[in-house]
Amino acid sequence: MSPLLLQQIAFMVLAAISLSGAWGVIRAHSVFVSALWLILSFVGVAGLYVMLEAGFLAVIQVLVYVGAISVLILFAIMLTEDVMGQAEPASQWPLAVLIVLPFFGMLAKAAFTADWQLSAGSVAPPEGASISAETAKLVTTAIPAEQGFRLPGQVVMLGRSLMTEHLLAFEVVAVVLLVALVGAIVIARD
Amino acid sequence: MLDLNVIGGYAWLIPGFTFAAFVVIMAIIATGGSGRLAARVAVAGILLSTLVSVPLLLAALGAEGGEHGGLAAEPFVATWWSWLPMGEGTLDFGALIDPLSAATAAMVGILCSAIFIYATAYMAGELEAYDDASGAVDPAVGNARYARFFAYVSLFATGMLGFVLASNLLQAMVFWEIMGLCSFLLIGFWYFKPSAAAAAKKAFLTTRIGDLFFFVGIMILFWMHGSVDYTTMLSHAGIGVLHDAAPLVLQFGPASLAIPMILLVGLMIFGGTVGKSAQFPLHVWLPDAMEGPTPVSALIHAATMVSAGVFLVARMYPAFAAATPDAPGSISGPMFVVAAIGAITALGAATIATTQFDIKRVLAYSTISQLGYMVAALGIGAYVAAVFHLITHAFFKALLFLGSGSVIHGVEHGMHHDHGHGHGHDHDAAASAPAGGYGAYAADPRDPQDMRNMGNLRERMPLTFWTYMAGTLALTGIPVWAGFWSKDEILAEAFHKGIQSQIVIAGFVWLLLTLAAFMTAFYMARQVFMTFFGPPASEGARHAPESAPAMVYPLVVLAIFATLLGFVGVPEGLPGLGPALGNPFHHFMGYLSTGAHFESLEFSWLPMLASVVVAALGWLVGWLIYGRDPAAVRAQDPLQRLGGAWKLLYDKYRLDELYGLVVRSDPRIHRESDASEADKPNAEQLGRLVALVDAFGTLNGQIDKLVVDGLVNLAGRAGEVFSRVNGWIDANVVDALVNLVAYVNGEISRGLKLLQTGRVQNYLLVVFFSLLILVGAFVM
Amino acid sequence: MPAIPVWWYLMVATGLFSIGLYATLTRRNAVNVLMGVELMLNAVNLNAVALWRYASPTVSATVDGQSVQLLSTLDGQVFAIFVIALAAAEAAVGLALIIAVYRSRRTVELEQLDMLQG
Repeated sequence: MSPLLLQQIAFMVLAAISLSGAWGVIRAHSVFVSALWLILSFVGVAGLYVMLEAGFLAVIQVLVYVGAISVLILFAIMLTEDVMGQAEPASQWPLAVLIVLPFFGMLAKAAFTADWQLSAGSVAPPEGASISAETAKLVTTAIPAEQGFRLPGQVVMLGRSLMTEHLLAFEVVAVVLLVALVGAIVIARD
Repeated sequence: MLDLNVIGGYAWLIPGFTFAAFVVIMAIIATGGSGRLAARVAVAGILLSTLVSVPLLLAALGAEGGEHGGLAAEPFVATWWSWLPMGEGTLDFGALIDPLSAATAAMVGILCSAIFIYATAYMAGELEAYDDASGAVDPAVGNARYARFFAYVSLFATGMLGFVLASNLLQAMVFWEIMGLCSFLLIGFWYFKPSAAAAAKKAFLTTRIGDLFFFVGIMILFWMHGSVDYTTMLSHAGIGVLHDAAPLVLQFGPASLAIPMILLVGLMIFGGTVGKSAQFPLHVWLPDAMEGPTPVSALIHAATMVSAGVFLVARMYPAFAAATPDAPGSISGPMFVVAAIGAITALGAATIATTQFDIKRVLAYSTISQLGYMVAALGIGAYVAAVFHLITHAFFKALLFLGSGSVIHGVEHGMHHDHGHGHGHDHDAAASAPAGGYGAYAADPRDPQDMRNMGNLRERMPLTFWTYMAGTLALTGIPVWAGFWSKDEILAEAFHKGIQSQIVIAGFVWLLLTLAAFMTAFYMARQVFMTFFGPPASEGARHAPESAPAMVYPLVVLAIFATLLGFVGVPEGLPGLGPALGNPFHHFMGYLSTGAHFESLEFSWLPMLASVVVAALGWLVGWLIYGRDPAAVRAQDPLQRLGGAWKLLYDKYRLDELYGLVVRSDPRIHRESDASEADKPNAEQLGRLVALVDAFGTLNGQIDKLVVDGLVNLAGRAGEVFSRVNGWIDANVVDALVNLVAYVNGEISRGLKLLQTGRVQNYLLVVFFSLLILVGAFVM
Repeated sequence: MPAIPVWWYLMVATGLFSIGLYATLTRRNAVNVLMGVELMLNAVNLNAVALWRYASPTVSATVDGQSVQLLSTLDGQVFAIFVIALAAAEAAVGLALIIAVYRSRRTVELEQLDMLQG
C-alpha cells in the first residue's frame, strides 16, 4: 500500500472513532455510558491532531479532555446520584432536528465551496536543522548556533509564541482560569 | 575605605531586615506574644538596616570621583531577583546605588531608627488599652495593638527603603504602594475614632488619584523603552528616545492638539508626586493625616513618605530636564508646571499655617510648604539644592514632630494629673473635635494639641524646648542651622535664574518662596511663643512633666543633626567657612546619570542676606504680635481682626468644601468653622428688608381684591360648567377606550407568556434558529 | 496535493458540531448537555487546527541548503490551546452549578428547572 492510502485509511478510522463516539453520547441509555462514549470521541480528535502535525495539541487534548474534564464529568454524575437518566430526548427533539439538519447542511456547504486559499507549506523542518540568516529573520524563533541559525522544535516555538505575541491573551486566560476556579469552589460549597 | 562593590551586593539587606522584622512581629501577634518584644524586634530590624545603609553611603562617598559624571552616571546596579521575564528583557527587583539613593537611604535609616525608639515610649499607653466590650484594661488587646503599630512601621520602612533603592520604576511603584498602604493603616491606627477612619480613607483616595497618573506614566515609558529600568530610561540614549518620540495628537473635531511625549510623561510622573508629596491641589489629605499617632506623623507624613514624591522627580530629573533645552534662559514643559505648582504650594500652605491652632496641623502645613520648596527647586533646575533640602528638612521636621509629640504627651499627662490618674490610653484621642458648645473659634480646654492650652512649657519641659528650638531655627532658616543652608541654596538658585538670567518663572518662584520664608518664620515664632512662653493656659500645661528618656534622647540626636547637618553643603564661595568645608554635598550629588554636571553657583551676598533678613523679619513680627503677651493672644488670636481673610485661611481656602461640592455632597465632610455664624444675617439689613416687603404687600393686597378676585370667580363658574360636560365624556367614552386597550394588552400578554417557558433548552433552540436565519440570509 | 483534502477534516468537525448541538438541545440531563457543549468546542478546535495546517501564510526559506516553504505562524494551535483552557474553566464552573442545583432541587433534569417560567 502506498503511504498516501495508508494516511487516508488512518484518517477514516480516526474520523469514525470521533463521530461514533459523539453518536454514542446522544444514543446511550445512561449518562454514565454517555460519558464513556465522550471519552472515545475525544481520543479520536486527539488522533486527528496528530495527523495534522499538531502533536503537542494532541497531548494536551488527552491530558485535559480525556484526563481532566471527563473525570470531572464522571464525578458530577456520581455526586448527583442520577446515573440512570432518561434515555428519551426532550420533548422538543423534532424541532431540534429541524434546526440541526439545515445547520449541518450550511456548514457542509461552506466546507466544500469556500475558497480556503490553501497554501502548501510544511510545519517545520526537523528540529535542529540549520537555516540561513535571511530565513532566521522570517522565523523569529530561530536560535543562533555556531554556524548559521538553528530551528527549535515546534513546542519551543509554541511556547515562545505564547509568551511573546500572545502574552496578553495568555495572562487573561490565566486570570479567567483562576476566577473560574474560585467561582467553582464557591458555588459547589454548601 | 569601604568598597561599594562589596557593600552594594548586600543592599538587599536594607529593606530585608525591616521586612524580616515585620514578619516576625506578625508571628508575635498571631501567637499572642508580648508587645514589648515586638517593639524590640522592630528597633533591632531598623538598626540593622541602618548599619548597612550608612556604610553604603560611606562607600558611595568613597567611590565618587569618576571623570564623566561620577557615580551618578556609572552607578552600582544589583539585581536581587528576576520577577517577571517577558519577551525581550525581564522585570527585576534590584538596587540602583547612586549618590541620590545612597544619601536618601542613609537618611531614612537614621530617622527611622530615632523615631522607632521614640515610639516605643510614646506608644506605651497602648499597652494599657481598654477592651471595648468590658471596659476593663485588657493586656491581650493592648499587646496586640502595640505590636501592630510596630508591624506597620516596619513594613513602612521596608517600603520606603525599597523605593529609594529601586532599580526600576515598576519596583519603585510597588514599594510606593506599600508605603501608601502603611500610611492608610497608620493614619487609621485608632480606627475606632470616626475622624481617624475618615482621614485614612481621605489620604488613601487622594493619593490614589496621583498614583493613577504615575502608573500611566510608567506604562508610557515602558511602551517607549520596552523597559522600566532607570539605567535604560535615564541614559543619554534613553532620553533621546523620549525626546524624539512622536507626540500624542488629540483630535477635537477640526482642531487638534499635539502633546510632546516628554511633556506627557513628565506630567504623569509628576502627578504621582502631587499626590504623594501633598502638592496643590491634592495636598488636602496631609493635614487630616495628623489623626495618626505622632511618631507616624513624624516618620511618614513629614520625613520620609511625603518626600518620596520629591525623590521621584529627582530620580527622573534627567527626563524632566530633557524637556528644557540646556540653554540657560528657558524653563519649559513639565519643569514649568513643576516649578509653578511647587511655588504655589509653598506659599499657600505657609499662609494657612499662620492661622491654625493645632500644634500638629501647623507643622503639617509647614511640611506641605517645605515640600513645595523642594518641588519648586527641582522645577527651576536646582537639583542639588532640592535634594539637600529634602535631607535636611527630613531631619528637622521629624525633630519638630517628635518634639510636638513630646509636648502633647506632656500636656496630656498634665491633664490626667489633674484628674488624679495617669493613663496614657487616649493619646491624641482627646483631639477629636469638640462636641459642640464652644464658641466658633475658642479652644477646647480638653484638647492637648491646641496651642492655646499650652504655655510655660519651656520651664516644664526644658529638653523638649531646647531641641524644639533647634528644629525651629533650622526650619525658619536662621544661619548655621541646617535649614538655612539648604533653603538659602534654593533661594540663591531661584534668584540667580530669575533675577540675573531673567527667567520669568524662576523669578516668580523666588518671589513666592521668599514670601513663604517670611511666613515660615512668622508662624513658627507664633507657635513657639504660644507653646513654650508665657503663663500656663491650662491645668495640663501647668503640670506637664518632661517626657521619658526614650523619647527625649532621639530628640537630642535629631537636634544635633538639625544643627550641624547643614555644614556639608555650605557654598564654597562664602568667605571663611566655604573654602574650609568645601561643600562636599554638592561634589557628591552634583552629577546626573546623563553625565551632566551642576556647576556650583557663583556666591552672591544678595540672596543670602535677603533670606536672613526675611527670616529675621518673620521672627520680629511674630514676636511683636505673639511674643509680648502670650496669655492674651491665647485668648484671642490678634490676626482674627483681619476678619474674612483670616477666616478664609483658617478654612484652608475652603478647598475641602469645594472638593466636597464637586465630588459629592456629604455633610460629614469635616468643617471646623461654625456654619451658623456665617448664615446669621445682619440685623440692620434685616430691618430694611422687612419694611420693603411690608409696603409691597399692602399694594399687592389692593390689586388682589379688585382685579384678581373677580377674574378668579368668573373662571370658577366657567370651570364648573365645563367639568360637567367633561365628566360625562370621561365616564362613557374615555373609560371605555382605556378598558379596551387594557383588555387587548392582557390577551396578547397571555399569549406571549407561553413563550417564556423558563427552560433553557427552549431558549437555546430559539438562539440557534435565529442564527440559522441570520447566517442563511447572509450566505444566500 | 496532500494525501487528505482539507474538507475531510472540516466535514468531521461539522459532524461533531451538529451532534454536539443536537445533544445540547435535546438531552434531559444537564451533565449530558455539558457534554454536548464540549463536543462543539472540540469541533471548533479541530476546524481551527485543520485550517491552520492547510491555510496559514507561508514563507520561503532555505533549510540545510534546500528551499522549502515554512508555515509562518502557530496561531491555529495557540487558539486551540486557549479554547481548551477556557473549556476547562467552563466545565469546572458548569459542573459546580449542576451540583449546586442538584443540592437545592434534588434533580438535574433541565425540563424541571423552570422557575423562570412566565
